[in-house]
Amino acid sequence: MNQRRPGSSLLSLPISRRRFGALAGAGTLAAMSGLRLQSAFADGVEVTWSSWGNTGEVANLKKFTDDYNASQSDLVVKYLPSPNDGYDAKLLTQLTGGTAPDLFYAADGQVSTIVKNNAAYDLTELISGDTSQSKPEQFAGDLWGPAKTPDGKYYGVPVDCNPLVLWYNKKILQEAGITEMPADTYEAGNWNWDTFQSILDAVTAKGKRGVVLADWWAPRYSWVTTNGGKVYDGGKFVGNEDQKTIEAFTWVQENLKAKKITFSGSLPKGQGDDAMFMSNQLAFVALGRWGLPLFRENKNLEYDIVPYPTNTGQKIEPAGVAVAYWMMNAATQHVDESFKFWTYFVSPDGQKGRLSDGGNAVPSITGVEEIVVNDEQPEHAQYFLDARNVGYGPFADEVGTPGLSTKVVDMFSKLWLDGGDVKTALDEIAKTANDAIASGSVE
Amino acid sequence: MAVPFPQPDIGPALAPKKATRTGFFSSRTQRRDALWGLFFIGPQLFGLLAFSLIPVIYAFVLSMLKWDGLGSREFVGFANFVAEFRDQDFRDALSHTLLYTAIAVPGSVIFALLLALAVNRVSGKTIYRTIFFLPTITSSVAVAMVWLWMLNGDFGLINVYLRDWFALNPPNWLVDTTWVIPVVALVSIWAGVGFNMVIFLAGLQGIPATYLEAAQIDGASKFRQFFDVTLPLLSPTTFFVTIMSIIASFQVFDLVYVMTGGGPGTASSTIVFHIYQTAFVDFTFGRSAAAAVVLFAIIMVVTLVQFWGQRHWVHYDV
Repeated sequence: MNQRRPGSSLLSLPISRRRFGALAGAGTLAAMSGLRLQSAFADGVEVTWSSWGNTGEVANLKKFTDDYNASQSDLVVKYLPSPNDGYDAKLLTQLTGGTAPDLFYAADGQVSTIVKNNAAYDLTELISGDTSQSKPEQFAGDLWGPAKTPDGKYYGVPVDCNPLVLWYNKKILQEAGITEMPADTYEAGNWNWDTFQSILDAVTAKGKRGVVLADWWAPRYSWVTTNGGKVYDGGKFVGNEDQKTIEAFTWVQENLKAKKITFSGSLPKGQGDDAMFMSNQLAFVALGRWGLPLFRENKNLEYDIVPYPTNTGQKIEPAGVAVAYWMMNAATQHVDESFKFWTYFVSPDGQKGRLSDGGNAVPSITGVEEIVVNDEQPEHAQYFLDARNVGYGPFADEVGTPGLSTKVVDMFSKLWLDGGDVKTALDEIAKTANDAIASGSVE
Repeated sequence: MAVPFPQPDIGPALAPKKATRTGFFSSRTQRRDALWGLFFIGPQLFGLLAFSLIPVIYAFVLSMLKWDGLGSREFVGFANFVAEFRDQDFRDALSHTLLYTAIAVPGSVIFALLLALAVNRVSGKTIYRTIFFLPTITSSVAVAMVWLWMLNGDFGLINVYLRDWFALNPPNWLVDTTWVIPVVALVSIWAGVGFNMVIFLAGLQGIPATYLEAAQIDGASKFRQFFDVTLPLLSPTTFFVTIMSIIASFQVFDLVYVMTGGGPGTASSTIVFHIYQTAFVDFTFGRSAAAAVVLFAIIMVVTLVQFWGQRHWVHYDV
């Protein structure tokens, strides 16, 4: 019988280099074998996917994944949710370390980096193949942004989309003496900058705020494109040479100075435009359909939506559409299985499953518009689809150049806060942007 | 001619034995003990290497690379440093940090000293010490959130009272480009004064009462006693508190991140906020590392200058 000597302990045992190495090695092997055993017990092929999201979104996507797993037995899909903050850095770290999921959401600013570094699967053949349930021609509008390269290759598709529209607070407009609501003005074909300006004048005269200009690309450039202007062309920032762009930003700045428009950068952190809108302090707020779950809960809020007003004589002009992209990991070990879930996720059925029952986005694929229009709120929900069909995704040149989006935001913030000369500021922005695009990052 | 110091006769029993082998691991027992020692400090050593030393060294390496966080790393020499110094955002962040330090450090040190002097003389010292120390042990995010709402321009407690009681027209503190850094610095003084006060209190209690009594007998006023006796004898504490406050000020991040997000515009962006922004929002890691190395150099130079200067004003002998 192997008996321990009286008084002996682990610490009193002589430890040689060999024994020390053996102890450490045994520990490591035990840990690794545990992991291997865990993997070996999994049944069938497991496909993993990740996205960011708040609590409600994550619960919705988890349910969607569970329903999918229950509907078929070929593969097991595992959802790995992540909070909004830090998702981008986490994904890059996972891709670098070879531990990224098979499928993932990617923010517009990340797509180019992922594609450039060959970390995204080239979906061009698969997306048009027989097994595809979501072919390129089924997707609405021009929302491809950086997910479609200039040589026509597809590395991702819009997960869904959020066309920017103006939500208006009926109570504030009525108190300011506005009798015809913007949606009616739009239907009558008179929804233009002059009408919008007159409403801004009326509501601000009553001590309310008109509209908030948020400091990201879609709200900023929507005023340019609804004026018929052009910001980027041929891989260059051209807004400084385009009279319509200069005119649009000059109009914005005049309204900022007159306090008819409020720059979000001048609002205290935590005092969001949506909160101001709900507390009857703000007449218009530029949001996508993501505002709906919040506004719907507020029973005292009377609201509706309208597309951005135009200054071109057209009834509607393109405005920005917020999108995230749905991509496949180039290093996936299960291409066919991953693609099976990938294409279902963005197919008409997949988007219907995700966005029905109080969804916070608009389908990026055609054929399931009823999700949006059958909803009782907002009253003119069709405008989401109108805005989507003419809208545009992020400018690949700007969001795809590391550091450029932040730099452009900073430069526009300075313009709005300091009230400098628009043309001079646009010249500086053009130089910074074009230098960065040429060199691949902000220098 | 120098006289050799006489060696005591310690006798043969205490004379060092002639070692047959030299070095730390000359015997099996010593080797065994060393390996056990290594075994025990191993986890800590691994943590230190993996999470401190190697990342710090790698930050220096990274500052000379161009890397977007995913692809290959390209050696660019000092290009990242040049780009950072040419970048208006970095220069602004640097000047904001200096302004913050210029307000927060003297404010914190002087206020903490005054509090310590006051608390040192009253009964119930422990209660006051606990009260003033509370903000230090409170989460900086919680502190920032409370002040964020108190400083709100429209409905914040401070502006409401300034308007109602004093009929003033106060600015919207955290979105005013002139006020934002001073206000954040004041919040940091409030949050950090308790820690410095406790250090000063310990220093004050270490000053022998006999010195002050002697000065009093010599007819020195309270004013003279403080400036000619207390303050010089407190100088090592003051030096420590100043050094630590300066280092903390250069590294300010949490208050800025929660209270202002670097705004309005970039009006409250500090160096560490800029480092974070460049790395984890823009994904230009080389430039971010370059900014971090510059910050390291600044803190090192400031600390060295202070260590050099302390010879003239710090008195260690009581």
